[in-house]
Amino acid sequence: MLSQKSLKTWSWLHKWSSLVSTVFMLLLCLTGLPLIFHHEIGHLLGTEIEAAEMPADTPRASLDQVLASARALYPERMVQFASKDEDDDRLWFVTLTHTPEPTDDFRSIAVDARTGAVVGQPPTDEGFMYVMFRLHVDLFAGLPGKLFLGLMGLLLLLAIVSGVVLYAPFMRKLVFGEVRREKSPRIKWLDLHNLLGIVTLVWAFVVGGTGMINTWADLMIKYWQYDQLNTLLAQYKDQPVVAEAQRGSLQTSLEAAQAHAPGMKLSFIAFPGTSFSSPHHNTFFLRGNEPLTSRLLQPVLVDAQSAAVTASPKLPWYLTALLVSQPLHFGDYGGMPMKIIWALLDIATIIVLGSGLYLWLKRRQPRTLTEEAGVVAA
Amino acid sequence: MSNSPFLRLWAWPLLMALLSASGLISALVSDALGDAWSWFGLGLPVLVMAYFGLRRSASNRVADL
Repeated sequence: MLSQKSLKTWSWLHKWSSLVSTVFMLLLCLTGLPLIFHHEIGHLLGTEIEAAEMPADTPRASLDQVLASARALYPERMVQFASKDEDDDRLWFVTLTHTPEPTDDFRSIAVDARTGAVVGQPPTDEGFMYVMFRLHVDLFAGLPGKLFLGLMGLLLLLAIVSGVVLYAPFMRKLVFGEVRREKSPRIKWLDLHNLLGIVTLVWAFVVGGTGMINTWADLMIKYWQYDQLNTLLAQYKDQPVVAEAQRGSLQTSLEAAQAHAPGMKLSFIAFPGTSFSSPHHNTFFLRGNEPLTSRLLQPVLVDAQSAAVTASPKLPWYLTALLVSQPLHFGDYGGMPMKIIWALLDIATIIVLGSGLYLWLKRRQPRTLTEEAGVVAA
Repeated sequence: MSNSPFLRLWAWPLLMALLSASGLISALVSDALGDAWSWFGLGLPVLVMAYFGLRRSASNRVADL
């Protein structure tokens, strides 16, 4: 039971954690709504790249040829990453930049895995979905923007916890789901706020929490390089990034990596000097075939010169947690019905946020909300 | 439901929380059956919100007569 004093404390916490974060949470809920369906929207807009139909047993082109085709479009750029499309392994996506460092100036080239010919260049820095994505991820402000949104996520979690504590005194005289429509609009929206808030509780907490974890992704990967790769790769210490002319065949490297972890599928390759690799290695990230293991990645570091496997360290717990938290944030792991439910829960959250703001604006007319609502402290 | 004041207040919220949590996890660890349970576990709370949120209160119905 809450004493009068702790009721005040929790109310204060709920009010301020919500007030500070509400505008940003509304923005995240609104921009997140189209992002749930980004595949379907890309399909409709025709921006999604599709592979041509060929017999299923058409032989695959060498990875070296795939990369050469992509690079021919932008000879002055280098390859940072190459990935297989998650749903369609007939396509490679090659990321080209001017630097191995993280950058916004990149080109993504789709290459047919069978012919080795360029299929197209999905636009990466324009259009409605790009604006939604950047507003949702970092407010167009890079890492500081991400960390700021992560902090807002933390405030959301505080608002949810304090909201659950306040649910009891506000609901003590009511039955579950009771909405007092005949009283003032303020009381009606209070009851709706409590109903939608308590029902979406677990979903909102998980999506908010995993979103917050995602904002730390860049930092976790940096720490992994510093913490694990440095010790693992002590023999390469102080050597510069392997020059392109000295690099061995990537097709040979891919085969070496796959032989090292049989039965796993390639997710993506990070090239030497990029944020997911070391200066001397092509790092192949492989994933499993089960529902859960397909979300987890096994890195295999292959020497960029000799094309021989150097090491295959287990992913540390914090990166495993990051990878598991991603589907829980995106809602992309249970087919179309789950996406629709995700969208409905998102809309319910928008109503909780909006009604919360409304209740704050109307907090003193003519009686305080707690008086009018018949709050029972203890 | 029960006469316990705790359950009177928390039975529904606890049920909704357990359903949501099981739905979030089931699709992560199993494909066909897990997906189906997740639609149920996450979908039922949505229906509960819609039912209580959109129904007209008893007094309104009386006033209509």
